[in-house]
Amino acid sequence: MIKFLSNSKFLIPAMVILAVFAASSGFYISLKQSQNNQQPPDIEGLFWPNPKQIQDFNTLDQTGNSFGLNQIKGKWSFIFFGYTHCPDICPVTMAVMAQTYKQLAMEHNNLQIIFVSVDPERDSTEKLSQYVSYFNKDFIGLGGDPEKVNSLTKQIGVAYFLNKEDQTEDYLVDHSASIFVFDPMARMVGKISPPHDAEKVIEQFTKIKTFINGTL
Amino acid sequence: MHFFVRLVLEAYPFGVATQNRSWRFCHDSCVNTQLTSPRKLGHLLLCIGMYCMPVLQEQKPATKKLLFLDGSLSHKIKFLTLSLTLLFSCLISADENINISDIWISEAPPTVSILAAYARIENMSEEEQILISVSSSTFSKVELHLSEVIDGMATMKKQSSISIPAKDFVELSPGAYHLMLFNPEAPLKAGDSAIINFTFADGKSASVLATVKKRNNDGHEHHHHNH
Repeated sequence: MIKFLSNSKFLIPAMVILAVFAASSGFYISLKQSQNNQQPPDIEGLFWPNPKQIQDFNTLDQTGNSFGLNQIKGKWSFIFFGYTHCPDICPVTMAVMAQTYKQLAMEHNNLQIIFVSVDPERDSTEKLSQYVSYFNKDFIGLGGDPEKVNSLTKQIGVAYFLNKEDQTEDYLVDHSASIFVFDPMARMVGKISPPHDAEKVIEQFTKIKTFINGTL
Repeated sequence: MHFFVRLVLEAYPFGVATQNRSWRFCHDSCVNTQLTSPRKLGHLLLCIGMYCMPVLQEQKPATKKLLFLDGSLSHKIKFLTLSLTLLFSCLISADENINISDIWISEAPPTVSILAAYARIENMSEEEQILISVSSSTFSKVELHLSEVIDGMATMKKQSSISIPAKDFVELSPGAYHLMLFNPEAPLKAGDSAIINFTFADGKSASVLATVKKRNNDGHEHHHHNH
């Protein structure tokens, strides 16, 4: 009986000490973790740290004017790839971007949507112009010739493949299905992977933009 | 006549089933000809024919009594059902078991010479149906294609056929299976339409009127039935 009481007297301080120790170690560990969290938050598709700085490139836009590094500086740009002979995935992406642009343009005034043709041999300037303006008058279509297009695709690191051996006339082109996001400093800061819908693109873009603006 | 058709339709399978060992065979052969929907008169007559023949041939007195048929009448019915069966079976084979719905052509910029069309193809039969070709007089050619994103790359592959499993359907939808329509006679705008013909491996065919529509902008074109 006496032994039990004395034991219980020891028990309480022991428990208090244990509790304080546990609490302080928990606090310390979480503090250390939050310090490590200078790393980017969990934003899908964000390229951080060290987003790729784009160097100059020399494509032609849908009006035939040259379009390079200076044209993507100072704006947030969405860049994606396709070709006008693509009847399914490309127009779906274009339609999604038209909807995205319509909504984002209400809040953001420095946006540009850029469709890059990976089939510049068939996609003439005129065809590109009609194609992109069908979806939105503000959209930009880039092409020129394969060399010009490659000056951009190589930097972004996207591949495309012309399946010319299958069909001589109506060949198909495999290309990246992602939408790449560039900040006003011409840094590639994010990638939005398919499948795309306007809601998802807007959400991901808003998170990326907010994060990038917070680092400036 | 109407009374007889109903009587035969309802009483015969029952009578046959209760005492004729060939019922299962008859039923199976009825099903195997992929005529499971009882909506068309042709189908009814074909079924009656299928049920009648073995029984009439076997001349079982009990089934004859059940149907109140004497010999002469049964011969007439046999002849009638046989001839009508032959007449209707070719009509039924047109599209009875294939239902093509929600078909639409996606409007494209005027310079674009290749359009996509989408549809829901339902196979109501007990056997797999294989779509082997699609054509339309509005286009120079129509191909079956499958869009896929593999490792971030958007690809499109021409399909020689599309299989629709028994009692199932395949959805041709954006970013998946679709029809590729080449070189329209004239640029198509929302509201225009074109007749599209589907041909299946067993010779079945169906022609459907497809309307041109603008794509919805949110990427969720029509209802997706992923399964």
